[in-house]
Amino acid sequence: MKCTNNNIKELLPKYRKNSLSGEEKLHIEKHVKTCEDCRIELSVLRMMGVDAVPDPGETFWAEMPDRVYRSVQEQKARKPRFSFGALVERMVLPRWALAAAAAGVALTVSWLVMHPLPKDSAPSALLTEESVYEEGIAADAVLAHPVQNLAELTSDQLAAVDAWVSSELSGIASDAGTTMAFVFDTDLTEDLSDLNPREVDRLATMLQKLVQEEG
Amino acid sequence: MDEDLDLIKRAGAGEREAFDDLVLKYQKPLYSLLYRMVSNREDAADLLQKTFIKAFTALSSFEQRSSFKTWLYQIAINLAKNIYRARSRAELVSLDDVIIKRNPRTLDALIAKESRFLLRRALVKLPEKQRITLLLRVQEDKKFEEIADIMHCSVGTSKANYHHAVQKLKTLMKEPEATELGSKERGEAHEVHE
Repeated sequence: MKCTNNNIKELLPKYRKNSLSGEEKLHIEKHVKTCEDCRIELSVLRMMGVDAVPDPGETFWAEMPDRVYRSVQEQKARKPRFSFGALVERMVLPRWALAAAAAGVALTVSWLVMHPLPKDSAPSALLTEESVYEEGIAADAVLAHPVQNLAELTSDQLAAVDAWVSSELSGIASDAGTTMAFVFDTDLTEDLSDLNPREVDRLATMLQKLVQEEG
Repeated sequence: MDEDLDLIKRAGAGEREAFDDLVLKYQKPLYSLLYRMVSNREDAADLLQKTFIKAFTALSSFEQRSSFKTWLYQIAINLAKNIYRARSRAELVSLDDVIIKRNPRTLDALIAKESRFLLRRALVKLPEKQRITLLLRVQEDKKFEEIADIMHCSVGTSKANYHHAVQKLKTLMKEPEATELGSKERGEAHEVHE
């Protein structure tokens, strides 16, 4: 039958350890004589207590601090631990420096609000209108550089580029002959998009063969 | 407690003597706990070293919300849990094998060892939280308040886990074979979580 006397149950571990007063000890013994549940509980506790831990020996204990110390030092040397606190400490600036930085940010933001940059004002490092006019760069030279923003080109520059492209393509078209004409005359964009990589490879091989035969 | 804080401060500042004092002070109780969790000398020794290494490399993160000892126990239990689980499964060997290996000389020794074996077999069937709570209470003589700190739970939860563990052990010890089937499910149903 299950015992519900919690006071006794609280004291059982202490009874096992023999750390109760004489009166408490007698109280437990009297209860355990008649209560099978507590008797079994006490024997379970005793058995657990008997399960002793083997002593690894004095050498083991004496060497442990040194072993741990060496391992800790090795770990510290191997991997310097990242410490957010230390990082913040290193980054801490005097108050006047923080105030100056904040004032600088505020001034920059207000300047940008008052004088917004034009939308397309991002400078093209490679090509600007001024550079074309002032230095008299020819269309060939212009096209030798990758153009980042075609909208920056003037109409004269666009005309020069157009003329150069037409002359270059006309030479290629005449070299390619019928093959080129076939490609230009037929809109295959949609059909080609349906092909899988293997089919595209096959098509490329066929076209290469055709060019070789015509060449 | 104050003595520990002083040692921790000095060890953190690189004082070797304080470092050694902390290891010497806590190595035995920690080893005892770890051995009871993993039932193996080598693993317990290895885990003891790992516990100290982890504690000393993270000494700056010790927030003093609990005692240093409790903090060490928490680290040790967390490190031992994996091996503990593996050992628990390994403990389920046949009774005959154990008796032959241990070669008992007398009938009393045989009975005692059989009882210990039955106890271990019953222990491994307990849910983890109940098992660790029981171990801390009975074998490590921890108060429920300390167990609650170590296990990150309330005092009531630690008492309930202890109570369920003892009840379960009693049943398992009385009828080891009959209770084998479905015992795990019943034990886990009783485990008290926060």
